[in-house]
Amino acid sequence: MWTIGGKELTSRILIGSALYPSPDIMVRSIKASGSEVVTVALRRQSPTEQAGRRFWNLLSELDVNILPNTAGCKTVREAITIAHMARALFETDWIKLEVIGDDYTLQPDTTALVEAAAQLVSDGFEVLPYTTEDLVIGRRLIEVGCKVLMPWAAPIGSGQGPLNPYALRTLRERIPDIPMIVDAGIGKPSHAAMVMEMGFDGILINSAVALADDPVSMAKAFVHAVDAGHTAYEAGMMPSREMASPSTPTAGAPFWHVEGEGPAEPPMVNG
Amino acid sequence: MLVSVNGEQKDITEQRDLRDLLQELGYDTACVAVAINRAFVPKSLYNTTLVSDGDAIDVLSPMQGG
Repeated sequence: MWTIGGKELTSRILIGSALYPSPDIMVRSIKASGSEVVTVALRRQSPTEQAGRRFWNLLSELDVNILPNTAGCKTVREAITIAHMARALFETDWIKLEVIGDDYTLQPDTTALVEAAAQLVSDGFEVLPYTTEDLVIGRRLIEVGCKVLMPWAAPIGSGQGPLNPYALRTLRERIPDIPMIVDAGIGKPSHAAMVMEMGFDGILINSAVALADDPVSMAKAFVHAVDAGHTAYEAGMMPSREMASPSTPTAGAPFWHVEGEGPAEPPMVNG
Repeated sequence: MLVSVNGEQKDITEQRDLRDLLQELGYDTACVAVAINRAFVPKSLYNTTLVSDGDAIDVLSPMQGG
């Protein structure tokens, strides 16, 4: 069990609702992921299509926590307006705060992010900021009232996995008490396992599942990976070593090694 | 007067409040959030908010997102 915004969660996967081949596959993938938090967006739509209503009805049947995003916002003002619209529409104080600073990488504008987060926290929002792995920005976000951080692993939708494991590990180790969800850039289950092994509390995935050949099976694969990584973190992993260290006891090894043959001393013993 | 709704120009003959305009355009007000000139308008203000010439109205609906 862990908590976001006072809500107890069992699953450590947050999942996006975009890019699935069909609404049915979206619903089945979300169910297969076991996720209790689903991200959504707000967009202009034609009133005749009623697509928003149909999508909303589908989500309502899932009985999950809705996490609206401010995707596409590039300024503090835009992000704040979208957050207020999302709160009214989805009836939740939760907001995945995105303020994009670069169109090519979709890298967060972290100074604008801190400013928008401060305002939204004072407006009563539970702000989940989409940020980089920058430790000091993480601290600033916490100072203005964010209770969760969502650092990227790699650019949104790139599927490249953690590009800067050192910085992610450092962020986690230097800020151990705040729930952190790795958001963006996770492409495969091994990436998820890797960040969970570092001690992150959860992951937010979308493209990695939705763009798989079989999204429902991929969602299940992520469940295993996240569970494996988190269990490994809790179990405490052995430190890595530069050199081999025999796992089979050397004492009592038989006598067939002949002086002058085989590897140089000390003798290697098969694992 | 001319207003823009989700980027489309609409010619409105007489002044009306936001609730009437949304209904006239076919929006399901239970399932949208509105901003006028980039400022959020809470639902409770729809019937006291008059649409003015040149207003840019954004009517947003739930959508798939990551």
